[in-house]
Amino acid sequence: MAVSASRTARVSSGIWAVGLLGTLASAELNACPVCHSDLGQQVRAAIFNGEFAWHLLVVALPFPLLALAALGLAQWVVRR
Amino acid sequence: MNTPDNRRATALAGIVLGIGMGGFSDGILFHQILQIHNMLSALRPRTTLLNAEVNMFWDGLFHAFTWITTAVGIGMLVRVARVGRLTLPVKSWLGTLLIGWGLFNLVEGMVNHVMLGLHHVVERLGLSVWDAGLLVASAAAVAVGVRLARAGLGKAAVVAATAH
Repeated sequence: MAVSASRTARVSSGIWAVGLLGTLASAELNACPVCHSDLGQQVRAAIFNGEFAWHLLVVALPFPLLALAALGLAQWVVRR
Repeated sequence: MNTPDNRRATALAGIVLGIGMGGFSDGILFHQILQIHNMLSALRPRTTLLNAEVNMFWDGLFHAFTWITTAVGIGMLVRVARVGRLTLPVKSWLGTLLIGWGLFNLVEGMVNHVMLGLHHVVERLGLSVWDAGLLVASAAAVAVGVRLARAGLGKAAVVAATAH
């Protein structure tokens, strides 16, 4: 029984190892903006293009507005 | 010293922390757990891995700005605590957090959802009743927060007046 359990564990580990290697080797997983894969390059190109500055501006835009609103509300809530 | 200036500094710290918490709840709940929208999902629908990755990048920047806001709020809180100026009752403090939370959703909803159309609450529906609901709920949160903050502040002002 002990031998059988040990063999099952080895087979199971092997399956996990093959699965992990297969996953890591997958081109699709290397799609991050700094990855050297075809998809990674496409992601990079879709982010760092002519629209980058505009997208950065609109993503950041609520925060300065929120800062102004927070200052105003703190003044208004705590009136002298 | 329980002066209006000190109470204002404490209230501002609460509002800024509330903004940070509101931003993180939006990002964690809607962008990541439910995945019903992402930062640029109206411009780049998450129907391909490429678009999902691009949205993930902009979600990350949004979270970075939210993190900075939260860090600023913690810094403000530490500053007022260090000089013994934490003069708000718990009720008021919770009120200021609620103000910040609602304010975040109100401003972000108006700017990103309605004005710029970068994304919507439920992206597959576009601009929908969910966006209107978010704005109404956010305005209500700000109103309740102001009421809570002022109710507690009234007591704080009375305590300050009787202490002198």
